[in-house]
Amino acid sequence: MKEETRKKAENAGAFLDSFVQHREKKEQESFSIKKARAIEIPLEESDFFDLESDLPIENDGEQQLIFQPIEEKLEIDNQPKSPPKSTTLSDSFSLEDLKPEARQIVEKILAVIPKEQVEELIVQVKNNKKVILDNKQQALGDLSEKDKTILMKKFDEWDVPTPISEMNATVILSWLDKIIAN
Amino acid sequence: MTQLKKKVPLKKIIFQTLGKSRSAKYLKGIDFVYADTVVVSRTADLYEEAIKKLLDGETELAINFIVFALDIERENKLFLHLCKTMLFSLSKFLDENNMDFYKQKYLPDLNQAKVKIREKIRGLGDIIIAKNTLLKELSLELDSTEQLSFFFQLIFNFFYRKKLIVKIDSLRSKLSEVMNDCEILKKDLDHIEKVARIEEYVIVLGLIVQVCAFPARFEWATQRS
Repeated sequence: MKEETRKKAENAGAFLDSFVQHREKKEQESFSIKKARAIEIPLEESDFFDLESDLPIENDGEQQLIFQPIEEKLEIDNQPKSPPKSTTLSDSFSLEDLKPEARQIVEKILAVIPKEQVEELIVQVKNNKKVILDNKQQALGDLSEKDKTILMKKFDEWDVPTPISEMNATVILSWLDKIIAN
Repeated sequence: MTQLKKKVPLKKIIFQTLGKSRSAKYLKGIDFVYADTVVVSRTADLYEEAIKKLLDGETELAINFIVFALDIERENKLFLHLCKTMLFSLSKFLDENNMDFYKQKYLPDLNQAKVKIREKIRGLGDIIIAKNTLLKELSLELDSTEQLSFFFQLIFNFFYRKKLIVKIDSLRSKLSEVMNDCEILKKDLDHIEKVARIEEYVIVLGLIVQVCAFPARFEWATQRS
């Protein structure tokens, strides 16, 4: 009986590995989504492990239960569809990639927020990163000088092309106004 | 730098760091509705939702989308840049808005201060109600003396009514003092709530930045407890 269970687990493990690979490949491709919305379902701790593949990382016997809905999702993925627009959100992303509704909102905000303010914020974020490192809330924990250097480098790596940084800065300026007023 | 086999789950780190009740608003879960009409990548969709939520002033939901997106695609620069800019703006806001003054005034922490101030406001509210009731009673009593005959009114005017009026005046001034104190506390509470809320955003965003920059420090989160 034990041998049979072990064999079953091995088979399931092998199948899971190939499935995870398949999912990772699929993750790189774009696929059809009408919309994504936050829902009022607080997560359980077990949900934290299904980040990349929607599958448990370990083969612990739960896979049969979790596997079924993912197979259904894959069927959707396998359906014929128009060629993907972009594979990942990369440097090529622009305002035009937003859906009409969101684009309209962002364009409206872009017209309202003064360009000088947007440029000032972009320049400040670029040149004055120390504000983040030295914030009094110690949001980044206790950083050594070496950590700070690494983080500065990371911040530079996280820079995006000007149109996107303008979009982000505009959105953030408008958001700041809202949360400060409230 | 240490390379981790598994991606460090942001959701778990936020959950563990903030606790269940405080983290719940940042980890609501995301419902993907599939359709063949619009072709976008999953993270692009999340980015769009995140900026829409920011524009609506719904910061917790925006962070929710950022967390989910970075758990799917950790190196996504759109979100990393958004996160960095948010963290910068909020840190600057707190520095410029005398955050330290409020922290010093309400040591040891703002959340405890909020509870204490709310209790004080409730206490003052009770005092205001009691004083108002007394004021009404005294005013009624004063009114009733006006209905007395001329002779009795004369006596009351000199003695009792005068005493009543003094009492009412002093009660009114006390009441206005208490109401003033209450208003000041309410203003303080508003400010503290805002500052505490922004401070929490800074902590969550800082945590996201830390996990993305130094994942090895959070390796514990990749293990099942």
